Amino acid sequence: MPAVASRAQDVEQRLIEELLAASREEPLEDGMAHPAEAILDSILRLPPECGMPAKLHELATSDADSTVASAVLCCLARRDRPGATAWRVGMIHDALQCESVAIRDAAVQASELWADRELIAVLTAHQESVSWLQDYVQSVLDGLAD
Amino acid sequence: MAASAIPADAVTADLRTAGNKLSMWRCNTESAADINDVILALAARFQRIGKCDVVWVDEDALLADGQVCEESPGETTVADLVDRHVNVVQLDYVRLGRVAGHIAQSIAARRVRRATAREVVDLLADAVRDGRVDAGALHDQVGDAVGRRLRVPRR
Repeated sequence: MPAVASRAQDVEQRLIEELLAASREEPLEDGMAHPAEAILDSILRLPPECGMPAKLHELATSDADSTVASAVLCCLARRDRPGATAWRVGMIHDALQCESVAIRDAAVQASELWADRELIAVLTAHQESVSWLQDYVQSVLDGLAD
Repeated sequence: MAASAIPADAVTADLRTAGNKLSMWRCNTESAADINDVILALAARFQRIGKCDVVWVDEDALLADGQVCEESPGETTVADLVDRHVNVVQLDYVRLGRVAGHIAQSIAARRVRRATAREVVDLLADAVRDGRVDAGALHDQVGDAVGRRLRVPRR
């Protein structure tokens, strides 16, 4: 049993390292596929008990590495409502509290694409200090209200 | 970093060159319709649905700055927009930096537009409806979203 657990942890660690590398090395372009997406798919297939949702939440909401955080969040945004609703909503809530405008922008992009009804309250409560991003928040809220 | 500074990440990520050329699209005017045409040209080759940011610069200002623009067929499936594409050519480190300066000025002057993901889908759906875009030529995820939009008319 310990050997099996160890191998699983090796896989998880390798996927996280691959995700970090892809997020740092390859710029994210509007509308273009990104190598981190396939890595995220592998991570999202792992059982939630392995703690990967919490790890992704941590990566996507960390001001310590805003390049990785925003890339992870933008690539997660392109998956069809990954994970549990509460996980998505909690991640967006925390990402919107980040100092990095790139992370907050990624959070709004994810909100638009996931279109969870629960995100309306999160976006409505958000006090955005950057005017263009506040405009985007309002556009997304208008869309979600339809 | 100073507010007027151009982040290096923006140059390496958003101003990625190939063959010392930077791809741009030409607008006849700054009208919403002309800007939307550029977004449509870009979105027609999207692999993923999402927002699309564009910034526009004055071509005359680029030329006055010594930049060289060459017309070149654009990579888009919107046939009537293919000829709107230009490359800024003969770029080196210094010249690319000056292009970045023009773009930074445009951003400061709010000569920018963000199309939301929803607007991108709407533009593509309208173009399919008008026969400007072949729905079958869109990437799968994008084609699916456009197909759903065409089945559900906008309010």
